[in-house]
Amino acid sequence: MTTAEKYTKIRKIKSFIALSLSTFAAFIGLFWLGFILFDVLRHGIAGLNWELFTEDPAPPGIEGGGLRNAFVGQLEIVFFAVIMGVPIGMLAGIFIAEYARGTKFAKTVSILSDIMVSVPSIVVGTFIYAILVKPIGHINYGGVVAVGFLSAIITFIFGSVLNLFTSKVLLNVFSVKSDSAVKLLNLIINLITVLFGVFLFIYLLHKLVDKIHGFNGWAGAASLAFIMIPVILRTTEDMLSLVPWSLREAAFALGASYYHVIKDIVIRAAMTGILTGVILSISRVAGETAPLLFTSFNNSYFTMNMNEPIASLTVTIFVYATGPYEDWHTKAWAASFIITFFILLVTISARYIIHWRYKN
Amino acid sequence: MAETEKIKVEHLYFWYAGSKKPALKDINIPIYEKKVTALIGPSGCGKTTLLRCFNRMHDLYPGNRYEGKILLDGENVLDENYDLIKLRTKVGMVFQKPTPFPMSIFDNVAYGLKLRGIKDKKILRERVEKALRQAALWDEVEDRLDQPATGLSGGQQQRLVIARALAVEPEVLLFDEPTSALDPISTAKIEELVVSLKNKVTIIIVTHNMQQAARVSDYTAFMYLGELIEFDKTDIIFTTPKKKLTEDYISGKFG
Repeated sequence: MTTAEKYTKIRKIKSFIALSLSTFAAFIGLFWLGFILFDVLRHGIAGLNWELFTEDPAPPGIEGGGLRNAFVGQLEIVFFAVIMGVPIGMLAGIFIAEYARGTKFAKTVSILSDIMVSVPSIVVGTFIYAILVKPIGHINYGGVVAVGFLSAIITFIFGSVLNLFTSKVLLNVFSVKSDSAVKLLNLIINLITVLFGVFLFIYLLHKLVDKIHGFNGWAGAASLAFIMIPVILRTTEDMLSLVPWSLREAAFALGASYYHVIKDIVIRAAMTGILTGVILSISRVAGETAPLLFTSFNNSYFTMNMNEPIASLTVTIFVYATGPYEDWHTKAWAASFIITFFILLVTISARYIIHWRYKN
Repeated sequence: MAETEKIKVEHLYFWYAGSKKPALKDINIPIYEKKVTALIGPSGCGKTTLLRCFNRMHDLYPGNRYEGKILLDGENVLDENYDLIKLRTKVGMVFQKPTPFPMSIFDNVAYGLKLRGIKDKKILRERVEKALRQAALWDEVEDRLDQPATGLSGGQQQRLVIARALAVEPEVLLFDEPTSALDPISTAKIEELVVSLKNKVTIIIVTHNMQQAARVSDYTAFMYLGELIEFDKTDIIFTTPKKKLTEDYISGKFG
């Protein structure tokens, strides 16, 4: 046997060992995944019935009843978490990747987000509990923060509308040309907006502050949003960075403003990736229990009022699975089955939507 | 034949961010209206840098600095108050690699028009068809305008990009080595296209293919190490250049 042949043989053996090891590892992973899915399916299907969706829980120890409150509560919490988390995460990601690209600030935010992604969810829950749930002394701190959020959002919208109105209507009517006049107008608009925000906050505070206290649905949605934001921010940032510069240059060369370049070209090119990130973050928070335990807490009654404690599937599973009744265990399995396959369904359908979008 | 100067570059210096050495040194060059001007020279001589000054593409990156003047119809485009969007409306650009946007063929060509506020479907259709015909692409894409532009071949994509630039009816069109990523047949088509556009727009083309410059251009500028060595009619540059350096480059002694 020549040396060349010998080396070929050794290389083949090495390749075979590497292949077997990685295949074996893949099968170990797959085995447990399949085992979990199968077990959830087996136990869960047994507990499935129509009452599960249409009825509220029976008093403890009494058989029957369903988990309608938990399904509705879960959907509501996740819905509001998405409403809060997705726009903030995406806009922040766009800011970091585009407008603030390469600055120290952008890098810092990016690193902080990376840390926030790996913060245990129970820490987020504790944080939200501290600022939105727990009253401090005689002041309803949570209520104040909630009203602050609300007035900030309304002020933001007010400011945008005012700005748009000024730029589209007033400037055309009076045909303001000079730069300093435009700067002065901008200053006035900003001043009006800030004043509006302050007065709105003061006005809303004594109207709303006592409506929200103790455990409430908003706190649950906020803590889920809090988990989503860094995930979406980082995915958006990464996906936007992947869009080649030549594409942006081509759009700039056509006379597009940065806003148009981002809106029409960059986002469109990165949409698939961003959507995937958003969906993955939704399916991640949909399965979270810890941040809901002491924010939205639990509720044995049906409610859609986010100012009250509200039931969620994950917390219900936790309570039912550790409870003493056999009927509760069955329901916990059924709920696990539904949430697992709901997340699976969301992920798969998202993939199909993306695939379909790509094709067209 | 008297020729009008569309663009006049006067004592142009250019520095990339953080660099002490200018990438362009005292460039003076006229660009004649509705003629093709080729910029040639070895790699790193500053021909692309100069081209990107004409539509101020360098402004996208902070820290880049110009000095001197580029007069477009008598107005200095390097003036800080010169509206970049207006400039890029007048001066279109085609890049080295095809850059179709992630949208349909029709939307790609219509994009520049939509940016200018044209919303009327009928006008859009007419202008898109006209541009695609000018770019000699209409017959190939006529029946699949609503399909993604990324599905076209490299050569078709480059003609699509040219159509996109033409749709907004620019006065000047910049080509940055438009054929260096294409096969010979596509290259021939693009060259034909450039020649056919000659009487409609002012064209500046950067190329490191000397034959290409000889084939398509009326005027040629030879650049070396950030300086303009020689500028003249193309046939003069290629037959009787005045400078030794130009002659050496043209005859392939270096490059």
